[in-house]
Amino acid sequence: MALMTGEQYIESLRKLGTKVYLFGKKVENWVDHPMIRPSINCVAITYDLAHDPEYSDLMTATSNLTGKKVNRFAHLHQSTEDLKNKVKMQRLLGQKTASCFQRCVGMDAFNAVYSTTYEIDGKYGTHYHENFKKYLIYVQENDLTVDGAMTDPKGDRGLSPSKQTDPDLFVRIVEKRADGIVVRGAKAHQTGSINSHEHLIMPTIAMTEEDKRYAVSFACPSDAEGLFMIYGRQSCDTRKMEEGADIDVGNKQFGGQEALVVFDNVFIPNDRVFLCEEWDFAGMLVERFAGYHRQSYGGCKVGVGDALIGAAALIADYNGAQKASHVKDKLIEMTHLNETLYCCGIACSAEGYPTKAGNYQIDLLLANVCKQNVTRFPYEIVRLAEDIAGGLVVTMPSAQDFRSGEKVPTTSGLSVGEWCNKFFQGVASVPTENRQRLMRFIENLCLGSATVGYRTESLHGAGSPQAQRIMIARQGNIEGKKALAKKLAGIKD
Amino acid sequence: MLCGVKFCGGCNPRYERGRALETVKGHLGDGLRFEYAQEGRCCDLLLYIAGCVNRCTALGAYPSRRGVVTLWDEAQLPEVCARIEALLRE
Repeated sequence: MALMTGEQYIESLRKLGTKVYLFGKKVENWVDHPMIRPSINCVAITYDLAHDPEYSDLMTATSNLTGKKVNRFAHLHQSTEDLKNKVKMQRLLGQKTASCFQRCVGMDAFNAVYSTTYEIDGKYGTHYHENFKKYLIYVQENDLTVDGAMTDPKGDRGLSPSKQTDPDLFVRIVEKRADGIVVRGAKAHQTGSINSHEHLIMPTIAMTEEDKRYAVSFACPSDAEGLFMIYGRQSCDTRKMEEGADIDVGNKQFGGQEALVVFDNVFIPNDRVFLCEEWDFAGMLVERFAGYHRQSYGGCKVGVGDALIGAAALIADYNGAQKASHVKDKLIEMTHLNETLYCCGIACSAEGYPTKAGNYQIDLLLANVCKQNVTRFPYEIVRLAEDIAGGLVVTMPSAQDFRSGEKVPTTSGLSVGEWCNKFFQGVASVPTENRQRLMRFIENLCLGSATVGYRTESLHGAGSPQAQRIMIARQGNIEGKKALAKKLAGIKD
Repeated sequence: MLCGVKFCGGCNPRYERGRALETVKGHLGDGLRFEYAQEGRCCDLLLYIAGCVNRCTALGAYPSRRGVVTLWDEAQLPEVCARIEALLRE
């Protein structure tokens, strides 16, 4: 199959039997559900832009497995140029959607599983790498979206997987058969899981031998028997279900999505198994996936930041505050923070290197520095955006009020809508509705449903801040730095 | 005369690249056929429209007989049009 269009992608979702629960009930037509559809539109644009000559240079790549043109989201990075292009593509999509476009987790999982399976086979004589190559060719040829799923519910954080009271709190192998394995457990916070054709599962932490039943990686269709998803709520999500929902949603077309993905005794055939009890490689797989995903945030969050900085600058224009020196300085600060994140994304890509399997890995130290900054800077960018926009971001009446023709029984005889339009005007030449739309767009990114992607995902996605600090400590070469200081200070011991 | 058009990937363009192409077409439309460049297909000249000074696209797969004209700033449009006209006269 050639590269799909966005429309073909959406139609392909309808053919799946994915089981989705929302507000306690199974959703039959989840593709058209107003709370879910914006997140599907986000993934769809990753397909559409691959056909657009203005963007195809970033959105596509040539597969090292088949020599064919594939969507970059299904590509194995073959050079540092590929790594940089990945970050650039993510910035582009962040700019286009102002949302999490969800397809990165699959791309990052492909690259991590590809190189790790190669090394597992080298040690144990297994055939996981060949399994995975065949699987990835299937993904590339059918232009599929895959959820790279890592995070387990984890239960008691002080206990290892095998010591949990409930053994299902990490995905585990419950049965090994001649033709495959049966798995049980769940993956939490799964970005884009419902919108994915397939799931590619990885362990969430390094394992010891006693946890080997939890050292498992595999792929399965999203509508596999025994697999279902429970949709995650987002701030202000039911605004999307209001009649005529538009302005108050803030970003009507695009949004993100997370869900709990449950595996209730799901059978996985042998050719879709990529790790099965080789516990000593769980850590490598986690570290590589996390590294790629920490690089990703140096692109996607920057693109969303671009949209927010633009909105802040525009609302300053609409408020008539654009000439104030402190406003100009805040826009400079927002830009500085945002471009610093991009610098980190590009730097960890430029310093990439080939793995034993041949695909390229990012520089782990710089990728972790990148993500550590991402845990902080979007929060400051949001604070500055709210500062520039003003309190109206959180106090403005609803769109229904602005549209209302109901007369207020006072001497003026104006309607509710007329009062709103009178008092919420900024610069007289700018229609009040434009100001209203922009305030809601800013609200969406700072406080509304898009904060899942721009704020909390920046904090916890690809690992919470402490996870990066552990990696920075490991990679920081403090002993080497001590040696530098000793030499310069003339210390001989 | 075929002018292949190759856009960069557009990660953070500093101007509307599509609009720039329309400007070039408007200026040079007669006698010059514009098509999106395809890998391995030789055109008479290649117009590379980059969104910024980095011009990071690898152009090796896009051969042209009379060379490559690169645009990376909207202010270059008159110069780029003049350059294409000069190549056409050669």
